[in-house]
Amino acid sequence: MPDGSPSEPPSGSRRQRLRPDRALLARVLDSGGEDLRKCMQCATCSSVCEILDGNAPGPRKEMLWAQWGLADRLVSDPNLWLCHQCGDCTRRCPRGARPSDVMAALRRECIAFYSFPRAFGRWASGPTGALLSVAIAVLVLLGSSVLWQSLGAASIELGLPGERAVFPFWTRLPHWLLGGLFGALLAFDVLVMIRGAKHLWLNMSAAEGKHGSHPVGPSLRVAASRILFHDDFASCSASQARRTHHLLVVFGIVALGLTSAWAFTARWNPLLGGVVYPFSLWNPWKLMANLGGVSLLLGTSLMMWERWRRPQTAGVTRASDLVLLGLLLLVGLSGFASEGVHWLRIEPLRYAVYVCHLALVFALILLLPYSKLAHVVYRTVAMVYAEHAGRRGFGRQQHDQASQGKVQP
Amino acid sequence: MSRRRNIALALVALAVPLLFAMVGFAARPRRPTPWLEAARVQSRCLLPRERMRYEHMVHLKALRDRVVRDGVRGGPPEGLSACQSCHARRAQFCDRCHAQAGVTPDCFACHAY
Repeated sequence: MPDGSPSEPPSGSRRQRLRPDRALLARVLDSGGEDLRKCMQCATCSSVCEILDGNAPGPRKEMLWAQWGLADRLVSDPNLWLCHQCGDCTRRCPRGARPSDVMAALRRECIAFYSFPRAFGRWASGPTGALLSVAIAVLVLLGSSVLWQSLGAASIELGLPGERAVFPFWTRLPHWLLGGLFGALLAFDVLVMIRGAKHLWLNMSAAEGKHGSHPVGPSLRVAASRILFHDDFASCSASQARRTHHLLVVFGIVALGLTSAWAFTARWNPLLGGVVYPFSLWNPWKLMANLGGVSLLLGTSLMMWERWRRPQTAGVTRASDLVLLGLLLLVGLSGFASEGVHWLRIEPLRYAVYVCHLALVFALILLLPYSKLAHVVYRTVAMVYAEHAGRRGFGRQQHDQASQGKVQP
Repeated sequence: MSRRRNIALALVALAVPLLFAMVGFAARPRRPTPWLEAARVQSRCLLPRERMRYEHMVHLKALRDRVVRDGVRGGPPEGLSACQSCHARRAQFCDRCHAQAGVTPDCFACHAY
């Protein structure tokens, strides 16, 4: 694929040289968009799409760009990310070209394109890479544990006086080591995603060729509220349940992330001194983590159920989709298993389950910028950009007109 | 919009009580950590301090099962008398934490310490 600079924006009179990426078509056909070639450019998909702006419609043109291999246009196209894969277009496509699955495959390409290092991104976006990431996580945890012991850091940590949250303290994977490892990995993720978000924003603005009509701050606010309530899921007519499933997963992960951040700072946070594990089940943090875990398990199970029972609306399930959903499910299950065996103090099983849970979480964080999970950043950027550029979906345009009609007598 | 309202209601209904409980948890009065008499100089415990604090009862019960129920005797000294060789006085060591944690172990009903 060409590097970060998009080709010149299409304009009426100027001639343009197309720079097709021959490998793109093969990759898209291979990763969920196998029906792409059936597209005959009838634009039924663009006319039924409720979510994309009618002045910059899709996914007809994305289908064409994908057929032609115009990767540089695709990676600077906000429509790719504004699409929530509701399947309305796929349901109405007269040729069965499954535009929503092609869009999903193109998003996968886009994630690999903006990832750093790109070769690792491409490798990790596939099922083998995702599965091997778990193996990498196990190796990193084991290797750093051995290194940490041999450097004597574990005994230094144990020798220090003062209060500490002790349980589940395991001398093989002590808190400093875990904090350092997970903190460093998260910091790397954040850098990779900021870099990708910056490039995506610049490429989208360059492709548009004009400045946005709304300031960025309010655009960010509007997009954030749309994300908080998952408004865009509501424009799907094919599947309404997806909104609930995604809400369950998102808020479950937020609750678990908050609890982790709290537990991580418990030893140094002066407000939290004297924390002694194990907490009672009615401790508010424990309660929030358990609710979050249940929400995550419920949401991912429902998503898997939906994909299994209703593939027409839920989309083609590729191995990489299953790996990610499975990873989320396993993180939840191993978390509850770890909680249970720690509660029952089953030795040495509780440490084995704890390590499994840590490795799964490590793999999930490792895959954050390289897998489908990266949509957290890229879709947010595209939604803010769409607000900034004044792109509004059909449903929202109607809503705006209706509310304007009410205001103006 | 009604979906939006339902989502907001569900979030507020969950978040507000949790937030109050968390503030209450952070502001709860805390008893100071009990002072424990230091162990005999140059002594070496069975496990690191953190694990001993939370697992000593598990080890003592495992030892009891091994010796009394399974009849396996011998092995390194790991029983209460081994504890006592480093932590000489029960009142300055065992009892302080037990009192704070509100537990009444029945070990000392039979074993002199």
